[in-house]
Amino acid sequence: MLKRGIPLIIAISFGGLTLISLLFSITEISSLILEWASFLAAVALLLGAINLLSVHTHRLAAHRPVGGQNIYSAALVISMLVVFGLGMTDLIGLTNNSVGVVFNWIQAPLEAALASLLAFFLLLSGIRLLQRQRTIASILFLATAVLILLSNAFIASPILPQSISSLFQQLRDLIQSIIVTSGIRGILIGVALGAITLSIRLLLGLERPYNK
Amino acid sequence: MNDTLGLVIGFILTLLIYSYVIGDNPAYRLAVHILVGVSAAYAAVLVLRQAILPIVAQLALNPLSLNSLLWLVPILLALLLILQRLPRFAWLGDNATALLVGVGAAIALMGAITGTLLPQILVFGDAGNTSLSPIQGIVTAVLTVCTLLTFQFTGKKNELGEWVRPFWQRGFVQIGQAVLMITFGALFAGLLSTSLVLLTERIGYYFAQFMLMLQ
Repeated sequence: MLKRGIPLIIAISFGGLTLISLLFSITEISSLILEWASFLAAVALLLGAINLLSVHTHRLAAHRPVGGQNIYSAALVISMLVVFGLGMTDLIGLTNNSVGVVFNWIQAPLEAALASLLAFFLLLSGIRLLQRQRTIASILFLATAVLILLSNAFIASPILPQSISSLFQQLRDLIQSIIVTSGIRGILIGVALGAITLSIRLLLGLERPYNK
Repeated sequence: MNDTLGLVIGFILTLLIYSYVIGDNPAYRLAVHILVGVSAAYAAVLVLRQAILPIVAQLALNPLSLNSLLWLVPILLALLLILQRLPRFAWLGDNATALLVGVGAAIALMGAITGTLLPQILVFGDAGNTSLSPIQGIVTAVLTVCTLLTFQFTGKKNELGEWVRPFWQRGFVQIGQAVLMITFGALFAGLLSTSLVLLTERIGYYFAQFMLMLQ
């Protein structure tokens, strides 16, 4: 009872208080609660990072490594400890912005490379879709994608006659301004309605994801 | 010297990531694990420096003020969250999670109403804010309703025990599904173009940097 009751009371009371303070613009209360929530989220993130470190340290210490996972865990643990260490030396003033240097040297190139690899992933998934699912929906999906890509290429191309490129531009604009706008608007309204329903259920205590 | 070192490290890591083009391999996995480690630690350091330590410093300056006493609530909840690592006291951490869920739900509710639902509905009536003709506006509205109907999953069972939508909805839902597929196709094309630009930018960047070094 105690284990399930107290979190329920906390969720409903703090949720209700936040909602009322946001509705009636009582900024003193809303900013205080939001600061508390940000602090708790920060602590949760820190604990998550420590948990990640602990899981991979245990994996590293395992006697029977599974598929060479020890090397990957070692890479993760070392990279985490190095950044943690540099963060601490920055904090006490031994180094100056060394975490920023690590970000520029390692994290930014890796993230940019992964993001640019998305083109490859997307092309691969498009080909697989055509191979495995030849339904009307998938054909419509791929035909639109090809049409938009071709239109973009034709519009930018100086070789094609003006009449053809303007025809493609009109077609692309028609698809974008009517069909794509309708689809995105429908998705956004659907997501908003879903978020409202779930939020109300959470605030009424009908959904309790915090009770394990 | 430092710039060159950073460039070489970034280039090697980029090559490790691009090795995925020939299939999933140890070099790619190694790079991904390094990325996860660095990102997690970077986020933790950032959070510690900008969200936790300033509050601790502020409380240490004036520990007996009303503001500091109010902060006892989240600090107690944070301690309970830390206790979650001990299996016996793990349930105590649910209280902190409950606060986050409650506050998050209230913010999401307000955000969904004022940030998404109202602007999307009001844009229908705002004739001055759109380049569409009245007929195009009506078509857009009808297609939006058809898309929304696609997400309605209530229906009845027929004589064969199969779940079916009400008769009047079926045509609209098919139109809605077609609209969704065209939308996803257009978004796919946009994403593909963007990532291709990123890919060429990355290759161009390293090429230009190495040419500069050679000069």
